[in-house]
Amino acid sequence: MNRLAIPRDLARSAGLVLLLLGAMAVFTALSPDFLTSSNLLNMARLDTENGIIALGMAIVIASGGIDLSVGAILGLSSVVLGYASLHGVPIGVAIGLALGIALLCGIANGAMVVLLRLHPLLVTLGTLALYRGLAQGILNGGAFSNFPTSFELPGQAYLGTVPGQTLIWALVILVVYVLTRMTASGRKLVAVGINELAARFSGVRIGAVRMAVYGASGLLAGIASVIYTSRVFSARGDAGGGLELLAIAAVVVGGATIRGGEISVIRTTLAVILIGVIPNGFVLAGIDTSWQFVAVGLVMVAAVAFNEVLFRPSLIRT
Amino acid sequence: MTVLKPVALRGDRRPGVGLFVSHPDVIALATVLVAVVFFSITARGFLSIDNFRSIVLSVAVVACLALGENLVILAGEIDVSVGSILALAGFVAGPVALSTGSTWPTLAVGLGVGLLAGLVNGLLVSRTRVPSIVATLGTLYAFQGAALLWSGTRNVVSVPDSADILGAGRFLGMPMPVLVVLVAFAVLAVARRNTKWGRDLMATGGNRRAAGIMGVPIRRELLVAFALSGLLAGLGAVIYLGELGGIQTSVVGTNLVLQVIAACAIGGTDIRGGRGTDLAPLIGALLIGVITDGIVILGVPGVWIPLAYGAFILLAVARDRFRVQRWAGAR
Repeated sequence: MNRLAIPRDLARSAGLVLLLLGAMAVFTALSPDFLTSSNLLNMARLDTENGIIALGMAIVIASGGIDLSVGAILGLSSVVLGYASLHGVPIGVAIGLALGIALLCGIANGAMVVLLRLHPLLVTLGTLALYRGLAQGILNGGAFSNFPTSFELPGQAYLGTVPGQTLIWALVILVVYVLTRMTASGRKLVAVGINELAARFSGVRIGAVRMAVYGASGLLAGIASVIYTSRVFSARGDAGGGLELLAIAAVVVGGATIRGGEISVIRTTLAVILIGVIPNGFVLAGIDTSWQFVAVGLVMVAAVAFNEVLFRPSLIRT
Repeated sequence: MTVLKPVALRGDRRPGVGLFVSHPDVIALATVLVAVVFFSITARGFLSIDNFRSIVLSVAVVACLALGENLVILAGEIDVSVGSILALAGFVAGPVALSTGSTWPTLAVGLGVGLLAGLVNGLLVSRTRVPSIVATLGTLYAFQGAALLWSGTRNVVSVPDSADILGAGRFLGMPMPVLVVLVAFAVLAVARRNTKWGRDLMATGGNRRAAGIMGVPIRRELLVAFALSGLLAGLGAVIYLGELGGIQTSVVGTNLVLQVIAACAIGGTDIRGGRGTDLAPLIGALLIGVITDGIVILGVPGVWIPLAYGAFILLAVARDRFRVQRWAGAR
């Protein structure tokens, strides 16, 4: 860390906040329905799943890895929940099973990365297909939606006007923030991402860190899955398709380099909100929704170019 | 007195059976053969000329995109936007095919759009410091949006027969798409093996810093690799249009690119760059086709197919993990 560390972080966060405020100002001007408490709370409700998964991705990317399987884990976990419920398992136990499966999927990713020393991009590309196949196969491509009404709690409950899952999101943000910023584990995570060899010689157990990282990513996908399944009240094998790319987009828009060694819980969350605001604002403003993809892509490339050009001048470009 | 043989001299050994069997193409082809033998025994009707023809036809588009992706991976980068480029080129070239009813303008527009999109990727990666996975993820969304905007979210249907020579035609009993892909492969392989560009490409992916010091034009290598990847995605779009007679907005997804990257990896190209063969994307695509076809003939419900893909990707990657140390000739 150099002396510029704090202003640099501040500048990045400020840039992201300004971008978000700018987008919100434009949408407020275009539609009177945008800046209302009900619309903002609804966005927070819908962003929760992406937000939780993006935090898992932020951890994986900070360690120098990548996890393409999170969307498939969400699907598999959701299907396990539905399958268990279908076979009369009490809903509490079913949720436990879903979270357990998600954690297991993550640990399986970690085991292949650590024990077989395979490239995480290929491992999670493989398990993406593997978990997706399992998810679709278990329910034979169908859906299950006969959940008991008590299952409305994780994804459809409100505390006053605040959606319940947003509180879960806030809790996850807090836990991940504390773990990555204020504990030795968080320092080890970043150390592995910056320089694996140096971390190993400093006594960090690289394998344990990586296993924990992929396990955490899986578990967070599981939490998102329970919320998602409860929100749409249906378990389908194709749930969560393409989520992995959105999560990666959020992490890099949040300013973390894809090369590892950096994590910002707050900026990742801001980026998720920004990526969520764009389609919402476009719909309310009556703009062709196809533009939202263009906008997300442009925001992404611009944010990363901004970060790379302004804040990493010391990198030697060959 | 015992003579200790220096380890370094092991590289001097003459090409023998051992080196031959550790060649990545041989191992990847052996994997395909194992799958073919397995399905020939278990699945009735698998082993026939007609079925083989339908297998190679079914993976022609993936193979075409994988040829370009392979170049990008060899250069040490990755292009996750090829699926979106195919969609964009398809939706721009589709109406051209409908209005002109002729192959050549369709092909020109498809290739042009693909090349342009590839150049955008190439410029982003070679001129800014944005890592390729991030840059092409951004353009994945951007091209996807552009494709949907251009199409007005309407499907292109019933491309006339006169405009689908690249899709439905036959030449000497082989489907045209397969021939087109083979010709593209031959051109790329010859260029990659026999030109300075080809050697510089491997150097760029193998050790970029060393290559830069030795005077390899890294930026140009990256630009060309991404441009070719886009061009081949445009070609894939024209094949797709001809083969399926149209293009649907539902194609605009991310499934295709994952299959394309999987094809390169299964075929034996190292995702870290600098190591691999020209044949890898074709073998990988062929294996994907054999698995899909075999499973369908076995009567397994299609929903399980991703599971088999996943298992094969993991097996192939694990297989290559134990191969890399022995194989040194691919550089």
